Amino acid sequence: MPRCRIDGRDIDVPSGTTVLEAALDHGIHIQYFCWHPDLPVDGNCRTCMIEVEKMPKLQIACNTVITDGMVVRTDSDKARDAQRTALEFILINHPIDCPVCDQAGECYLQDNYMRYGLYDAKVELEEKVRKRKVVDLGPIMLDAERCVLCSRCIRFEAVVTGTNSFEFVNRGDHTEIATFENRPITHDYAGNLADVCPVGALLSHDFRFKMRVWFLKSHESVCPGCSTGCNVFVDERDGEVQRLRPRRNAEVNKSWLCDPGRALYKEIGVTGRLSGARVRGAGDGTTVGAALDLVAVKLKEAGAASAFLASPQGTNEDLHAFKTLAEAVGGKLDFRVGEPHLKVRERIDHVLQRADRNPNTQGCLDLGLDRDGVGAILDACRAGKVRVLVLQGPELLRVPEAVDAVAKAAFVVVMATHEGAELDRAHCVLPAALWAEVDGTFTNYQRRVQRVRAAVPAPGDARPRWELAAGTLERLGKPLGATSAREIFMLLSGVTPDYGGLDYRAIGAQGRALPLAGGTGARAQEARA
Amino acid sequence: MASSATVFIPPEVLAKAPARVLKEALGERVLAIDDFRGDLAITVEGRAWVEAARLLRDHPECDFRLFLDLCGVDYLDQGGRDARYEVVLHLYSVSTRHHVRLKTPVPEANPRLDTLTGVFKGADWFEREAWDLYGIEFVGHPNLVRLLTHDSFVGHPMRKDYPTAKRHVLKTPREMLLPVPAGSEHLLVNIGPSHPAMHGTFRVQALLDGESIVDAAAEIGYMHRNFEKMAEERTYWQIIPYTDRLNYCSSFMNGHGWALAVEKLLKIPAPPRAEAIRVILSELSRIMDHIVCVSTNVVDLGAITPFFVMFRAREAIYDLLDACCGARLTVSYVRIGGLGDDVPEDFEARCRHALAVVREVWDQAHALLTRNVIFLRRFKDVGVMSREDALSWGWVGPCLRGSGVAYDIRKDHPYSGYETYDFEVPVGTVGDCFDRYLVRMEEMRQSMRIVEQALAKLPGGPVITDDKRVALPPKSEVYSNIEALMNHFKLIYEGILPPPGEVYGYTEAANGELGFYVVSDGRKHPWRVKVRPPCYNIYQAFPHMIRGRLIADAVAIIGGLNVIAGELDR
Repeated sequence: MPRCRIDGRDIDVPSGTTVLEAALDHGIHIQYFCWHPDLPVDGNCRTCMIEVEKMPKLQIACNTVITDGMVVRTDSDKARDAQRTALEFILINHPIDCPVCDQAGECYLQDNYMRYGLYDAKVELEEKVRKRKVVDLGPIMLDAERCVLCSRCIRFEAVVTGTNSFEFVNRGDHTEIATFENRPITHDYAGNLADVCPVGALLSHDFRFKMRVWFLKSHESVCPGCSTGCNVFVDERDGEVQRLRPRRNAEVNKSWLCDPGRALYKEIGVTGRLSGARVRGAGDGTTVGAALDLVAVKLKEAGAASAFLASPQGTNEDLHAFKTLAEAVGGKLDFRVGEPHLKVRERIDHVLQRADRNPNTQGCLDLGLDRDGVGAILDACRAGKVRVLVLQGPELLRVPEAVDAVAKAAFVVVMATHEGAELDRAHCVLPAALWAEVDGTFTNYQRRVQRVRAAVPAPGDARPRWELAAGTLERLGKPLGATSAREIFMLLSGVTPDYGGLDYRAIGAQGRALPLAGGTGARAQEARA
Repeated sequence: MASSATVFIPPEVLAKAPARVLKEALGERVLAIDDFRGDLAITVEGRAWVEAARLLRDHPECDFRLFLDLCGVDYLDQGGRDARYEVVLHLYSVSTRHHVRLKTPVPEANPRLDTLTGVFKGADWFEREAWDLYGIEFVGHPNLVRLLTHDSFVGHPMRKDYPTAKRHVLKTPREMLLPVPAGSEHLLVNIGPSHPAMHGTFRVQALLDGESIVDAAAEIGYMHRNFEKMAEERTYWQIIPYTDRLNYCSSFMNGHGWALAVEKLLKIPAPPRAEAIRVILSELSRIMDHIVCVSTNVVDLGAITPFFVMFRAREAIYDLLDACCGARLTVSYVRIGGLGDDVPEDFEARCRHALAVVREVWDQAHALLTRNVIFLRRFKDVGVMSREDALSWGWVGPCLRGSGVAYDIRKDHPYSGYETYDFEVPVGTVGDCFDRYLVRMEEMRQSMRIVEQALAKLPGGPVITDDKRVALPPKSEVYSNIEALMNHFKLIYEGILPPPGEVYGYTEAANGELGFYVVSDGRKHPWRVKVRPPCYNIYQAFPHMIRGRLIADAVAIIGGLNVIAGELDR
């Protein structure tokens, strides 16, 4: 393990680590533009200049591999002068766009100027080179004047999506970034181009002019779009989500997020949401409490003549509470509507997305919710043997082949987040909170347990699914024994193989991977499929 | 933020008397010693708290007899700490002319600490406030109930996990502040909160035997706006308008004090012209404040004329402030690193006019009052505060000087160039209402001296530092080059980023030592701001001063203490 000294601090690093990587890992800030933790090194911006003892010329930190005994100063006069000068060069032709540029607040130029610049400008506005502005590339807007030619977008297209959409055109002062014939970006990862661009040259069309980022509060969470479970930031202001951004997790999604995942922020909020309980024939104004009263009464009557279908959209906490309810009542239990367990590891592209469009199929498997079989449950319904059918999500109500079976169940209860015509097939509708409105955990395709955190309040009377199940258990005289997601996780970790000893603190912000070969029998085989 | 015991402490710091004395006496129970920006700060274990405070007060080399401030700090989610809370004590020694900060960690589970009310009289309300706002229990406190928030308030609002936007509906007033013995024939009266003789919204309940006050209790918090919690969610600039609303009778001085505290934290001074203008406007504000105090005090006694006479001078000063920054009362004129703008061209002429009016009204008020028989009968030997008690309560400013203690920060720890001006500090001998009146009257004359000297040698140059991390670039630059535009943007939406650390900045405001204890974690909002409000300690003594006296005396005394609700309650 080579040891180096950076700014007077002795640091041991794995072989092959660059000065920039070592410095950033240890809280020593160095300026950079073209370097990116998940893209190949380019070394074109020259802003990360550092002084290395015994080397007469300054080096770039991003491409200088640490050797044993290396002594580095990032803050010497020479280094600071070079850093300032490099920044000044980049800014020579930069337009005075801050008031109309979305990047303000997360702009490398603004941030680095305050740390490494602070010089007086020498270039007259009229002398600056003018380039193309407001080029519509579909999901992305290009402003070529703001580009600092770091080539991150080129490298992203080359290495991550393999689509090679961007290239430098023209020469010298007039170099610009461009797509062939200004063709729009058509792959599912365009949002990442706005993320990698350190300035306002590439910006999200969807987010354009929507919100100044310094008003946003960021919450750590996990995207529910598929079983990959990319880590995200939910950015909101005053309880309204404005966008989703990727949160770096080297084991799951690196720095990337797919566009369909990003768009999921639109379903959070109040529009189209189910915000109150409904009971068929009861008119307006049913409270959740009254609805749960009714559900409990029906379940008590039905006993084992009931069936429970969990939803892989639910958190592990939701699932545990639901399973506890099913076992307390003695009804049938499963979750595999649409057979998500067969798709949980199946990729649909070579970057991030998976075929299973649920975030927690693996959690369902781990908690043993694959029990009696969906087919068996539907058959029981058709045979008139199911008096109460409890659905943790509306998936089954959307399956045309199941309509007849559902119609035969005497009392259908469904938990749902959004309004929809299919809810009319239920006798009782309970409003559920969305992933961005609850604390909890999802287990992704790799059996990585990851935390979601409530970023915004749920609308109206909507509750976490576990709270709806717990309320029902309470009314059946068999309380769950937990009043928060955190407590429920403690319960489930005690009884679920491989989850023992875990708690929210241990899971942390990057999640905790469980052994892939874990679990027993059929479940483990399915997990490995 | 807290330095650990393993950090190297320079020998000259260890040699300072408080550090040496405590280390010798307490050994391992001293957890840390720090002197960031020259502020000596000693952290001790909770069980050594009272002993440490006593040592600092009584040890001859320490002699920290002036109780300044005690507050809580919540370090929730700040790494590197074992305990969630910290209680911070600030003391001053008039004899050695040193400040000291004593701190102790208080754990989240069962947050308790021994009371200091047995060591300093002034600790009473401060501990109640720390209980109210943080939920820290002070063991042995005689009356640990809420002070600033309403009785039925739920929660401790200064805790970091208390949501700022949370609302309570609080309807019922607390009727009884005093226990009334059963069958008593005494009369319980409320004086305030809306009472003409209460110059601001605060309340005293008195138990009367005829006109004698048998017992009294004070209730404050009617103007509590939790400035300190607001400060935790604002940038250092954004706090400036809030400071205006502390002592709003002399609002410029609050901003001056705040700017100096932050400049101390940043180690970035304001340029000489800015400092000189700050002195001029602060001294004129001091005159304004003293005019309010003196003239409203005598209105309560039935002498209305001096009020009408003296307020003309306030109008002249208001006009001056209006010309400088566009506002009369809440000026927001300071900036971190200087002033918001230069003064108008006729500044000197306006100042001289204001001084002339002040001189004229001063002479008239003096002629009406100082040898007036009725005035003397109401004021002389009324409300005597002994020197020792004044220090223990934490009195400062004209009230402390009236009691014979010659402590004035402008002389003892000069700032903004006060050391270059010739002026005297009046000090009383008896400590009664009359002494406090005389001190204020004389201070006004000395303030005029200072203003004249400052005008005579007012330097040219910029009125704000040229440090780009702190001062906005000129608009002409902002509109014509990217660097200044970015600089402007960053300063507006992010603001100043001081280094992590804590300072106690203090100035001689109209009521005395106005302190700002500022804790920075390096980010754009301060982690904690504690205002050391001079009239808080002064008003705390009031119920004790009036026990056994007549109601008429209570009225005479309260006016001369110059309690301003904005500063008192924050």
